[in-house]
Amino acid sequence: MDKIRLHLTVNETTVEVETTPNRRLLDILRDDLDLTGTKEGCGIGECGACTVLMDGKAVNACLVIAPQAEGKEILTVEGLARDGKLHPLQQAFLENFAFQCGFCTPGMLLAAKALLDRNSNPSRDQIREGLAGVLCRCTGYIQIFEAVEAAAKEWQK
Amino acid sequence: MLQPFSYTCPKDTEEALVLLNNAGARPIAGGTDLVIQLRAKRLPSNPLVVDLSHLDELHFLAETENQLKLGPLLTHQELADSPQIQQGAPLLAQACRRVGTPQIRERGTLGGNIVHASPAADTLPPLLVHDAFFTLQSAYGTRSLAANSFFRAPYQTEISSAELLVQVSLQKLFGFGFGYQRLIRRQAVGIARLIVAGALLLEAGRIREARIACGAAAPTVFRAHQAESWLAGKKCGAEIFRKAGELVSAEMIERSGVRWSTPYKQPVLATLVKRALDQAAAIANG
Repeated sequence: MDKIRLHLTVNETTVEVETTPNRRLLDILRDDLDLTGTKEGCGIGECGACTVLMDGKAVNACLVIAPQAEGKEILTVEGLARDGKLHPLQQAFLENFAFQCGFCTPGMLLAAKALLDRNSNPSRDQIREGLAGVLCRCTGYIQIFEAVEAAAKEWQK
Repeated sequence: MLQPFSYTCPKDTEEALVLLNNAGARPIAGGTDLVIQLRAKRLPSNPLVVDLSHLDELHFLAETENQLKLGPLLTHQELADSPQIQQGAPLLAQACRRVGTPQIRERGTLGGNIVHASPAADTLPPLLVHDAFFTLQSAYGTRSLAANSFFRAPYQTEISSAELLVQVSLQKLFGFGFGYQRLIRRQAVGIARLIVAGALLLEAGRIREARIACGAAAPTVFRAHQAESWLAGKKCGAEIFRKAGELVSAEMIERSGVRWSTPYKQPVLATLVKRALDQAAAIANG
């Protein structure tokens, strides 16, 4: 299999990666760039643990083949905090006890960011719909919805 | 790790069509179905994956007086958000809003949903209601096929491996009311158990034209023509819609035979049809 060279921007840093085509954006992030905050759950686009933003849109990194990430801007959970300060969503998740085991949290945070970037004042139903692509097997959804509502208040400031 | 494959990124449709002449070539757009097959190592050895995702010429939404012309690369999210689709084909907008999850809707495309041809594909019943037809192009020419005759069996269509779906054309339906019903175990991610898309054109309280398409009910999506013609000329009403539902269920059984799920699906499909027609009539009257 021929190797290809990928150029992408991850968390605002330009990176170049050499890879075979049969790898996923998820593998590039976790194995080549050591960004292990993005989790692999089901691997078939159902659980949302691998959710990242690609050009600002929430996608399952397990369903993006590496070559399709060429030239894209990727945001992972590692890129949320700035200058040692948590992102308002992360802060809200902490303050609202919005995680238990934490496995779904990176995906939840990025799905929530995609939602709030589109709609900074979502209703509870819109939050449920926006987060419907990430499963929390600890079933702590209510705290997660509350955290997103709290973060939305920050967003509007 | 996905199964090994070669990757190519053609500069335009013409080049893509030449590449698709290679044995084992597979087009990829959003990848929401193909990547799952690559992960399961289900494709023949070393396929050539032809990336269409960046071809702007397959990514368009145009309107004529009587038609909506859709590029196959439009994503479900784009279709759900489009004011032109919300107005001109509200059934399609509603169906696209319900596909998979937000993440799947951002990647999955109309063309992929059609050509993958799952019996439960969300976009297909609305397309049939709009008498959609598909433009298929190969390196040797172009042909058009009605959506109604495109689907052969689950996951099997009339498209050949050297062809691409390059345009989806919908007839606009003026003055119709629309109704959409979907039964599913869980609102997100799940696969529809039954889908009904209906449209009614009324004239002085009577049905001038009825259109009913069902998904996930038979091996392929279908228009319930017997119920449609039975409805024509009848007065709108609960009893008429209930009876139409029974006729649609009978058509389902004609197509799929009696299966383990029939005792459940027969009354439930009838109920969904009645609800879709109630909805459509309320909008058409309103």
